[in-house]
Amino acid sequence: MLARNLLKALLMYSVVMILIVLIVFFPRKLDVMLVDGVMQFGYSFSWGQYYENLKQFTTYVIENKSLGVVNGWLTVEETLKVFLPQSLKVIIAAFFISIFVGLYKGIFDYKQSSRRTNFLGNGTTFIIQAIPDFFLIILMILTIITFFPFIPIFSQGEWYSFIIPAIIVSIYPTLYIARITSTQVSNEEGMQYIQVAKSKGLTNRMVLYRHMLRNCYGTILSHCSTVMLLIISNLLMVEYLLGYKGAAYRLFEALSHSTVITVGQRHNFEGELIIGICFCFLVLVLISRIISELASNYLDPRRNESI
Amino acid sequence: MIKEKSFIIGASMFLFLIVVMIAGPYMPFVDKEIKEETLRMEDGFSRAPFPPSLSGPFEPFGTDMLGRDLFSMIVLGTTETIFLVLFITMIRYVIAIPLALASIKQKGPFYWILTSWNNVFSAIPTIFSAIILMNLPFFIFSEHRAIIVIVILALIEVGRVGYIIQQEGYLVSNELYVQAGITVGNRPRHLYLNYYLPALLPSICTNFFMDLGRVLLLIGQLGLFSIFIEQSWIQLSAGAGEIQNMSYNWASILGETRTTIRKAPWITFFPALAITFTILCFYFIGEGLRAHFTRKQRA
Repeated sequence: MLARNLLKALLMYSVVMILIVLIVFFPRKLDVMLVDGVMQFGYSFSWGQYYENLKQFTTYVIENKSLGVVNGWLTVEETLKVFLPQSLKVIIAAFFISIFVGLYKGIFDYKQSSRRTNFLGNGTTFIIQAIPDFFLIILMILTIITFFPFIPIFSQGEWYSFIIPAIIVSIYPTLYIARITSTQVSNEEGMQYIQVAKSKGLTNRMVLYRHMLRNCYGTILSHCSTVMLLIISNLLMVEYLLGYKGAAYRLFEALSHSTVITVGQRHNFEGELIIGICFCFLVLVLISRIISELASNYLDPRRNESI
Repeated sequence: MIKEKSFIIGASMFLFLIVVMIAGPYMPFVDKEIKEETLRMEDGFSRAPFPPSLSGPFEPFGTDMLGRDLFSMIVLGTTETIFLVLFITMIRYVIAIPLALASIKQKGPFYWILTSWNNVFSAIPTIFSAIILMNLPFFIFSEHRAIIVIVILALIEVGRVGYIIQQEGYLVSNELYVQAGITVGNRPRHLYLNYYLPALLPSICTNFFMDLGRVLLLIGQLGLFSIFIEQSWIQLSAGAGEIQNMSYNWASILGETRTTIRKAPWITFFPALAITFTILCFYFIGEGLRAHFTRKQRA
C-alpha cells in the first residue's frame, strides 16, 4: 500500500513536471510593430515553433547533460548552486520551526481550551489563521521596520540572515500545525486508554505527552506536504518583498514579468532556469510527501490493531 | 434562524461592506472622480505620496505615488472587488458541482478527471500555477484578458472543490435512505436533485464562503506581484509603453508594494487591511454556517 502510494505520488509529480515544461516552452515571441508611431502587437501561435522549442530543449539536455545556459554564460546548474542554498536554508529552518513550534502551540491551545483563557489559545490561532498570509508578512515587515530598525532584514551578507525570513515564512504553517494538533488531541479526549493510564496514577503531563500525543503524531505529520506547500508559497512573497536573493526570487526574475515593453526589447524569459527551479521545488514537495506517507504508515502505534 | 456568534459577526461585517458599496460613492469625503496630484505647494513643495492626514485635505489613508486619495480608491473599488471574487467563485462551483455529482460513485472518466485535476494543482502552490498560467503570452495582450484570467483563476481550484464535494457525496451515497431511493426506482436525475443535493447543500454553502476568502487571498497575492486582472496598454513614447492597472480593485493597489513598503507603508497597509477585513468576513460567515449545520445535524 505504501509503495503503491509513493509510486503514485512520483508519477503525479512527473506529470506536473512535464506540464510545466510544456507550458514554459510555449512560443512566446511577440511581434511589436510601429505603425505610424503607434505600437501594435501581433502574436501568432504555430505548432511548428512549439515543436521546435521542445526539440531544441530535449536535444540540448541529452547532448550536454545540462538544462541549458542562462544569460549566455552560466549553466542552469551553476545558477542554482548560487541561489538554491539561500532558499534551502530558509525552507528547512521554516519547516522545523513550523513543526515544533506548531506542536507546542497546539498543545498550549489544547490545555487552554478548558480554561477561561481559551481566547489566548484557540482564539489567537483561529484569528491569525483567518488573516491572509500576505497581510501577516506585510505586518511583520512593517513592525520590524518601524519598531526594530536595527534588525537588518533587507541585507543578506551574514550567515544568519536567513533567520528573519525563515521566521516570517513559518508564521502561517506554524498555526496550521497548531490547529491540527489541538483538534487531534481533543479528539482523543474521553478514550478509554486515557482513563486506564490515569487510573494507574500517571500525571496528566505523562498521559498527554506519552499516550495521547503518540497517537496523534502520525496524523499531524501526514500534513507535512501541505506545510511544505504553504512554506514555498510564502517564501515566494517574502523573498520578493525583502529582496532576499534566493531561488524563489530568481524564479520571479526568470519569469521576467515586466510591465514595461519597448520596441526591439529582448525578452528575458529564462525557460530553462524556470524548469530547473520548479524541479527543485517539486523535489522538496515530493520529499515532504514521502515523510507524510511514512508518518501516516509507521508512526501510529495502533496501526497493526485494525488488521 | 442562524444564531451562531461568528455568523452574526460575519454577516454584520458583510452588511457594512454592502453599505460601503451602495452609499460609498455618495459620501461627502469620497471623491467621485479620482484626481492625480503629484505636487503640492503648501509651505514649500511636497511630493506624493502624502501620508495619512485627517485635516487639510481629508485623506485618512494617505495617497499613492500619483497623489490619488487611497480612501476614495478603496471605497470605489469595493463593488468591483466583491463582484470579481463572487464571479470567480461562482464559475468554480458551477463547474465543480456537476463534475463532483457525475463522479459520485468513485469510478468512470469524470472521477478520473476530477482526481487528476485535484492532484496536479495541489502539487504546486496555487499562487505559483496562477503566475505561470497568467504569464502565457496570448493572455497578456488578448482583448478578452479579464474574462480569460477570471476563468483561469476559477479553473485552478475546481479540482480541489470538486474533490471535497465528491468525497462527501460518496459518503451520502452509502447511506441507507439513498439505497432505499435507488430500490424504489428513482431516476438518476431525481436521485441527484432530491437525494444527493439536499444532503450536500450545507457543506457546499459553507465551502462556498470559505472559497470566497481563498479567491480574494489569491487575487491579493497576485496583486502583490503586480499581476493585475484588468490591465491596459498605454504607449508612453514612440517605441515604449507600459501595462497599467486600470481599475481600483484593492488587489491592484497592492502592486506598488515592493517599491513603496519602506518609504510609504500606508500604500500597502490600507488596501491589505481592506482585503483582510473582507476575508475575515467570509471566514466568519463560513465558520458560523459550519457550526450551525453541525449542530443541526446532531439535534
